[in-house]
Amino acid sequence: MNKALHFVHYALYLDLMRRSSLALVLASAAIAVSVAVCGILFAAASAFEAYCEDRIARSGAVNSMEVAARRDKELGTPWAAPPIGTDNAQQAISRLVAILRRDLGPEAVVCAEPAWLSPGWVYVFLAHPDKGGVGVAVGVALTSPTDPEGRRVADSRLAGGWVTDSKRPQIVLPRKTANRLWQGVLFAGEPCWLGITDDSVCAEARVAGIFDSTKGDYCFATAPIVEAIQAALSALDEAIDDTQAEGDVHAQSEPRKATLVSNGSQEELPGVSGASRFATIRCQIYFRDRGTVLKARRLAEDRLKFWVRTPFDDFDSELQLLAAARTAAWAALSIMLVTVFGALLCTFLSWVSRRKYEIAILKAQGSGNWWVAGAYVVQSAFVGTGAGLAGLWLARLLCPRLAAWIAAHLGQAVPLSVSVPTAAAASLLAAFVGMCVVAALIPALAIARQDPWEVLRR
Amino acid sequence: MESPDVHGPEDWIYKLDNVSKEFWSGKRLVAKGCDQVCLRIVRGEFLAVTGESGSGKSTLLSLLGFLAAPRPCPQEGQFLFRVNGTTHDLRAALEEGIGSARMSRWRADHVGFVFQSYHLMNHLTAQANVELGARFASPDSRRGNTADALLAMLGMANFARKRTRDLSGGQKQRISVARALSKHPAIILADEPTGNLDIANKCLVLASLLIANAVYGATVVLVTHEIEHPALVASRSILMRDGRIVDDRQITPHVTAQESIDIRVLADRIAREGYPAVYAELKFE
Repeated sequence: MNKALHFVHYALYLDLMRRSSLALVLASAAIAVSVAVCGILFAAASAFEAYCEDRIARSGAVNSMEVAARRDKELGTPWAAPPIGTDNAQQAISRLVAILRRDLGPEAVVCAEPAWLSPGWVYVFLAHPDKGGVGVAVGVALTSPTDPEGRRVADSRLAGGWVTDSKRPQIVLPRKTANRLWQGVLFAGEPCWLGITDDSVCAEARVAGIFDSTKGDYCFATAPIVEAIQAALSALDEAIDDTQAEGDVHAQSEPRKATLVSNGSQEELPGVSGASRFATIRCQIYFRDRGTVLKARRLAEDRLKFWVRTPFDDFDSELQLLAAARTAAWAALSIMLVTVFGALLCTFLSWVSRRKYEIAILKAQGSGNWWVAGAYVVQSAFVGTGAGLAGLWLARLLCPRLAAWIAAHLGQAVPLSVSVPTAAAASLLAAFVGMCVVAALIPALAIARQDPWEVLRR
Repeated sequence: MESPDVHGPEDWIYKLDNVSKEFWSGKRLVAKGCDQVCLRIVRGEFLAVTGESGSGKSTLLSLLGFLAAPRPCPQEGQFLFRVNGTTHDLRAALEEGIGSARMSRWRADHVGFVFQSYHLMNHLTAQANVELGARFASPDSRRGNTADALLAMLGMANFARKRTRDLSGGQKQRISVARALSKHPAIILADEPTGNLDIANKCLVLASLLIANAVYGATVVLVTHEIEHPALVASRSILMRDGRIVDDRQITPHVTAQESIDIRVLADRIAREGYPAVYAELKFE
């Protein structure tokens, strides 16, 4: 430690004793201004985001969203395939719920209303007692044992005892499933396996996301839902086509009985009724990331020709402005980083090149290449840190003026606190110090490898 | 690469056999700085290397100071460096691909340089410059005198806190000598150290090199194109031409190290009697 401190001290002493380091002064100024501009941009974006959050919160739309998706009847384009029945999936949901209630305990896990379902994918929202009734999502993907994926599932994951027999319909829930679904093991993306219907599907249940958690798992939720909608449409269309081709309408038109076999006990479940048409998908999504929701909506609308309405539609202008502010902040940051890095590289190249003579002297005294490079890296890091802190201080000075400008621009009294977010400030500082280090390391290493004798002989 | 001494009873510090240094520009051979040089330098001697400009003196010095590597690597010859009873083989180090690191290490621990243009850090003080000499040496090699003691010995104590850019040429060169001595080097390589100096300062610097040789026991290699210098200070002189050593002879200097330990005596004598009078007493044996 002492050795390192000594090295840092000496590295700084070697060059900063010099009176005229115009290149370093210019570099420091460039860094300070860049950090200040970036910091102000982040502060503005952050303040505006807070403003939007506030407005949305006041509207009561916080942390939940109802997406009402309906087929665009006005387009006048008929379904390419027969409409999709949901009865099988409804039954699957019922069974799954029954199984979960039985195995996990009715008092512990209360199944909320299955908010959204489709034959291809099913999402069930369960109340998690530890979360105070906050919804926990379980996604169920339905695959047919007749298709390759279903066969793979049957062969490799279900070990034979799982695949249902059309004549002996059964649903099997392995004992371990209960454990895996219960507290502490509800990890996003972790599969468990369920047999759902008698003759056509086995199922993979996958915890798609723990909503309202702080783990960021929510981001897995919306895109799979949209994908699931697409998958469900395709899969069920194919399934219906196949069934009709075989003339086996019986399975869909007559209720049948399924037997639940789990942990050695059996119970009868309600029969499966025929397919019916659905025209509306209704889902409840707990969210934190509006961007993902908007993306999901775009996907749904593009692929499925649904119109999806969200409560955010009321805040379209604000959200668009917010998105623009974010984009502008990132674009400005990116451009600034590239520009400043180029400028720093040139500046440090010039700076280190002017030290060619001193480097040759150091090498003649026995310093290694890495010592020389390290000395200049330390100096550049020192410059970057100092200038970065100065830039953040400058940004802090300008923030109140920015707050006044934003308030005036919005034309109303908004409780706005404009400040550079700590995380953004730390990131900016780290980014600029990192750039300084890289910008100094490259020329320093190059010049350290020069022949000192050549320089000293001139 | 490093082995106990098995090279004979002589107390040599360098043993070069067929060592060359060629300068290439792409695939074109530009010059031969040294051409199959064979040289043995004995510990403690004061070797003067003379010759015309372009004869290869400085190139030889850069090789001895590990500032440049031989090229081509001596396949049939050798480049041995012996210090503290351990023999280092530069050729082996180069073949192992660790030549650069080893050369830096040896340079840091055992070699002191004195250049014609001083090559001091002009923005640092005299003391800081002297301390820089031992900066990169390993702890074992830092047992030389302190910067203050060296500066005092060379009559520069009053200038220790001054920046070197404010000093005269002779003062700078004495600081350069002090820097070379600060690590207690096995060898001091001086490349025309008196080239930019007047007569009085020349003698002072030569006297300080003599002190380094006689008092500190450093082997000194002095590259000079001034023909009187070998007679003034050296115990051996070699003459180079076209990268080869064409003459190698022992010398008995007329101003001995013992007589010139106190550089003030020499300076006073030069000031009183003039350099020609001192020089007139100096003759080759």
